[in-house]
Amino acid sequence: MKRILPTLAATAAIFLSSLGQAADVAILNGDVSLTITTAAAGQQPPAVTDETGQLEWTTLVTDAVKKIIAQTNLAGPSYTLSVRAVNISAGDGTGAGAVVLSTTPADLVVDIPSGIQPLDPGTCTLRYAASATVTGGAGTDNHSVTFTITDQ
Amino acid sequence: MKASYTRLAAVLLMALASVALAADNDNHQVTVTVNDINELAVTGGDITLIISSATAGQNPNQATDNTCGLEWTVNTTNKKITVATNQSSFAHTLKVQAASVSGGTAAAEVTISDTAQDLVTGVATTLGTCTLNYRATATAAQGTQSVAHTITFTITAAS
Repeated sequence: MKRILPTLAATAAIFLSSLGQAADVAILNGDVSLTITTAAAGQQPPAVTDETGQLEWTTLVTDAVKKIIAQTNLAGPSYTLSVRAVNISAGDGTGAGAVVLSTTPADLVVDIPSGIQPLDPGTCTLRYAASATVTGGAGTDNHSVTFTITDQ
Repeated sequence: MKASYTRLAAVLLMALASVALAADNDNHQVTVTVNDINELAVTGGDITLIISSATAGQNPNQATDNTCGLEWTVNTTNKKITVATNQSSFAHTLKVQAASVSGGTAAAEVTISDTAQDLVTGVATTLGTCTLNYRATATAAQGTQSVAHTITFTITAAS
């Protein structure tokens, strides 16, 4: 019994630890609201932007090269919502440019290396931009935007 | 034996904690709101119409101007553009009609008064432009006068 317990503990630890061996991504600063309120006469309303949100991510030393993808749960939005990763911490990935959010995941940050530790996580600012045309009318789109770190 | 169980529990707890902290995705709510937008602007600035000649035996010739226009941005429905002057009493006649209209339908020529009248109808979720064709007329019996009108164009709900 004395030999079984350590073996059992080690096996369980390895098993559970393997479950935890996933890269991690987290959003900072909560929800975002963008409001389009005006336009110049004869022109479409100008886009509005928000940069209050941030992402943090970590990877394990054993990880393959990763990327972060973004998508919304809202199919057929009335307005265009895009997001871009800016101010990416040095050496922690490369911005993939502005992503027009849809229900299909799109690359936001690519070439994320292994071994990004929790004490010094990768970070970026989320630059959201919302735009509308007059044909979209007035109203509200409610998005749940999901960021996922996955193998590249 | 008791110590072994304690160590086992601790190891399992640590492993479970590491599982709980790891997440390969996260989400937040992003709300995009577009308010009602009804913007209108006059292009071309102020104008002056001078009635200065006539054919003998006839009333004076009319004066016209088509150097100004309107631009509008409307993301709502069921709107129209009205026109009115701030002057309540004047001897001559001042008329205006919207020409080359996009983003709406031109109403008939309007004799401008201090009561708002339709200039463009059928304005809905559109960008629009038009030219303002002004026409001033006076009869000989109305004599001479100079009146400065402040003409106001308004986007409003169509009835």
